Amino acid sequence: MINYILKRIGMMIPVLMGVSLLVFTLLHFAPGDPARIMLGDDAPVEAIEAKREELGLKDPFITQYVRYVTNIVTKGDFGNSFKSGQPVAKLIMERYPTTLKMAGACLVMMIVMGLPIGIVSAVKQYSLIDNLAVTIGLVAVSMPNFWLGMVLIILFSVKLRLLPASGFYGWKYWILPAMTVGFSNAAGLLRTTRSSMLECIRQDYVVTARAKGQKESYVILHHVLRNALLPIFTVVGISFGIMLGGAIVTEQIFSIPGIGKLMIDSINSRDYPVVQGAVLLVAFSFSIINLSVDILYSLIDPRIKIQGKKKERKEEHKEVEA
Amino acid sequence: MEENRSFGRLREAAYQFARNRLAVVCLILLLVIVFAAVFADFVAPEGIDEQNIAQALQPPGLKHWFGTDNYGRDIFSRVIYGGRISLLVALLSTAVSTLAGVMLGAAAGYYGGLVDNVIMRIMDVFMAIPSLLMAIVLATSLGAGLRNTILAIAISSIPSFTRVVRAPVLSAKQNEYIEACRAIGARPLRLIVRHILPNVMAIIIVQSTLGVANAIISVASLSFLGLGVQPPTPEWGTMLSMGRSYITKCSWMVTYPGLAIVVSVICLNVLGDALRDVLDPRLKQ
Repeated sequence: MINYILKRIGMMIPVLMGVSLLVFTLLHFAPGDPARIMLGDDAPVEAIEAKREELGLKDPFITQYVRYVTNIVTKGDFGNSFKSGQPVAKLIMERYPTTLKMAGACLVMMIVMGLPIGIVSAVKQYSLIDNLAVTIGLVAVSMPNFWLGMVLIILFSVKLRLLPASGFYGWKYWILPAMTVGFSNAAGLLRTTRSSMLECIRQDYVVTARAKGQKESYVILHHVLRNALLPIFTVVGISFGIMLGGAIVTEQIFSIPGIGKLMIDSINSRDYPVVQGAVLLVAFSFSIINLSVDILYSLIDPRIKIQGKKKERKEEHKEVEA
Repeated sequence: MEENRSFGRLREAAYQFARNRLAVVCLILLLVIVFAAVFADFVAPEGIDEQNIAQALQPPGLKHWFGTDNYGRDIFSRVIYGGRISLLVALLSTAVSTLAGVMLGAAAGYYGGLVDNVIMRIMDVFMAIPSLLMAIVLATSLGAGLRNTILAIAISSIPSFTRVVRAPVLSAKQNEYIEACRAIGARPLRLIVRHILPNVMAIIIVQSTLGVANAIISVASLSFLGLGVQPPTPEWGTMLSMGRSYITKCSWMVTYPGLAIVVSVICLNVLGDALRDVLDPRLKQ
């Protein structure tokens, strides 16, 4: 088991190196000259040249990349913002907790909306509730969540005047964004819960449990749900990662001062070191979450420990989900 | 003989598809949307930039079905013209990513070993970044505009196509008839194209249908963030982004372009699921 975990962590390192190279390369060749961005358009040519020298922009690309990565690994230094001159690490860390909290709230909302309906849907297959749930699920996955966000704003803030539309000051401000993201992701959870429950519900041990005279609710929650939990768990984990990435759009709509808003503001002002740092952090969190899901998954499912064939299976699963 | 048989199979698939009423309705709706987008010049009552400030911000009514925007432009017309751009970008980017994904996935699955390793490790790197974020980074690097938006979305969705194609190629490779082909000296390219890919076709078709749906959402998201198609070009995402400033008073500016997205995406998703049921009964949910 420990070997497996170590192996997975070991496999993550080259991936993260690859991510950093990819992001660094892409933003390195993005339009705009950093020195000019820092000094403004009317700066004299000599000053810009001097600045380029100072920033090390005249070094070969590879040297710049190696320096960037070395600084991150040894000093946790992601460089400085072109605009404000502050360290990128500080700017990001100020914003990151907000994004994490928000993603947590969205996750709770998603589970609250998706799981119970998925269970009911499977237990009462082909009933009115099931059909309704499947339809709503279809609509939910087909909705861009920034549009859903705006519709919710129109409904709850403009028409009903119940909830604030933007900002991030108290619990009231959390509800609309959490509903927006939670709803779109709940659809995936609902579908997985339903199909996974349906797979287990016809197993012999369920019939046995009923034959023993156990209460139906106990059979469903204890025998069926517990066995159906693995795919559900995977979807929840993956969704959490996606929520971190998807927060970019949601934060924009609701003006939440998280890492996504920081990223878009920085893209608009061509403050590339900040963009780079933010993207790397999100990719890093995403990888950590996927890794934790994998590890927990193998801890929960004893079959995997024995076979040690976990990776293939989960990949298959992810593909089916995708 | 062979053509006859495949024709019979196609007819059977069409028959099965026709029995799924929801899917047929969605297909028709989708054809209407595509038709309107293609023939927008004839269908739309007004042009895309016929400004009429006196008529600005009119609510939906008989004259302007979807109302007018802040420049007095007819939103119904712009939604129709916008469909052109949104659907075009979504279709082209999915075509590019499907093609690339099939090539990479087939190569990885068929050759295995080093080729597989190199391709899949690169895909791992791409997959470590959520795809919308990847598209955002690509769009930032390439710059805004129609062509770059297509590229950004295409590249960001290549990894999922590659993975989806690789797995079935890997298992199709194990079949005895493939071995037989190899034994009579068929070259790898012929083997892949003639014997392996047809087996994987169902999955590719389903996946690309769902891919177009996702691409529509990605295009709209990029444009909404100001990184995709630029105004004044009408595109559903840019229209939403503009409408956002008027959300408190003129909700129709966001409602209708958004509905256009939702309806198209729902239709594509239903179609994709129906195709999956018809083409590959094993995958039936």
